[in-house]
Amino acid sequence: MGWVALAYGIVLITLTTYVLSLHRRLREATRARGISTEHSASAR
Amino acid sequence: MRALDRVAAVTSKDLLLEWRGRQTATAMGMVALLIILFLGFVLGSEPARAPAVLWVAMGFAAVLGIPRLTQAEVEQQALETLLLYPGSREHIYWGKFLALVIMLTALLVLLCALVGVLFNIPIWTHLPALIAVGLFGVIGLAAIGTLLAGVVLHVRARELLMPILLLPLALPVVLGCLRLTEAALAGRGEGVWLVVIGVFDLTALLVCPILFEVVMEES
Amino acid sequence: MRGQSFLGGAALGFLAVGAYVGLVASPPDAFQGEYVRIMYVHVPNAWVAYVAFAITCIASALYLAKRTPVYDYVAHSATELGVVFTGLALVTGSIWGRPVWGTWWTWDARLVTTAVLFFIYLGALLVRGLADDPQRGARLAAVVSIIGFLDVPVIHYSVVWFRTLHQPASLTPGDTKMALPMLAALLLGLLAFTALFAYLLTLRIRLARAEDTGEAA
Repeated sequence: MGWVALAYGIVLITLTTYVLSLHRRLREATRARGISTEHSASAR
Repeated sequence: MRALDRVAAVTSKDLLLEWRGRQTATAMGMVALLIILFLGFVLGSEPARAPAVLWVAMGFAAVLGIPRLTQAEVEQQALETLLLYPGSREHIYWGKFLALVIMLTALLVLLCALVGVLFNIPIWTHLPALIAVGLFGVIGLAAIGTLLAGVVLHVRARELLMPILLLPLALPVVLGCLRLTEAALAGRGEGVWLVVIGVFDLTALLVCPILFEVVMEES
Repeated sequence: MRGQSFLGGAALGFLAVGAYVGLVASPPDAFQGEYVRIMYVHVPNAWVAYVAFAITCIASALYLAKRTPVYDYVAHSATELGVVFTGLALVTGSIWGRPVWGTWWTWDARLVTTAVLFFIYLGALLVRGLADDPQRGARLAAVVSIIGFLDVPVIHYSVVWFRTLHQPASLTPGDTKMALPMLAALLLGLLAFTALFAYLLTLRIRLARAEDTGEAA
């Protein structure tokens, strides 16, 4: 059963890490967009 | 006939550049020789191994040689000039394709001779069949290789990217030519592989020129 | 956004049910014993990898034809997901092979083709990342994806015939008929991972859109 646990574990860890990293990158990207629109607003 | 002239012009330009810089072409041949020596020594030089060593060496030598096809465009920034000439980008593809076919054929002849000597293979007795197989494979390699030479033109680490791109895509050609060479040396035919490489070559020659035009677009 | 959260929730639900059926509710295999449970994640991973590949090719072709950015977002996202799931398929396939056939790797045609697929995905991503500028990178990645997609069937049969024309085929997984509970576990796994893939794809496309307009601004 150890092999089964290893396989399921790797899938679980990899996908969870990936989902979390996607959410993080999405937060940073929307924040960056917010900042850049702030800049253009303050430039006016 | 202007199209044919343009194609011939590109081919002769590329071949002339290669001929002028033939020290580098010689170096490529030396590398291929080294690969064959290495593999032959490490794996053993039984005649049965010869086709495999030949086509593996061919694949890796092609990986080294194909970036050279667009080397001039990269180094001397000749690409803008080339693209300014009237005529379809497809002509550039066919010109480079023919140049690559000639270069790869020369390489293959050299490698066949080497393998024949080192592995004790009677090449001469099966020469027509071997030539046919070789051409079939070279056409496939050149078709894909020309497109990839264009792809890596605008990319950093182009020499590193070429094996990653070429070897997976050219796998059917390498595998097929390997089996066909074995069959040719044994004096029999292998229809299946002829079909495989035939399909590959045909598809590549139809699709790659079109994709090449996309690759050559200015940004 | 609502739709995306629903999709994510559904995927999670299916995955949980699938894991339960796969690990607990379904019986062990007559030949492979408990190790057949690995198949319930391996096959869905491979399935998703190939679905992602098809999406990449279609989106790439559309992008080259229409040049609308959204097609590039889809192609880029599907490629990145394809790398992840192809990698998982290879790893789980390897882990499955070790106890069942005593070897980490078999030159089974499907495994080899999946490995080649991994390299084609990787090539497309590298070309995109290493290109002079993002737009060119998008075009080059599309070209690589398309030529790769056309080549994969030829590669697959080449690998099959390379080995099997001269020697009998080795044991291939999933050839024998399956008992109903095991089939259910497999289908649940396929459903769950497809839902997960759909969720991840929408998320990744949103990210691509956000990153692109961020740069333009």
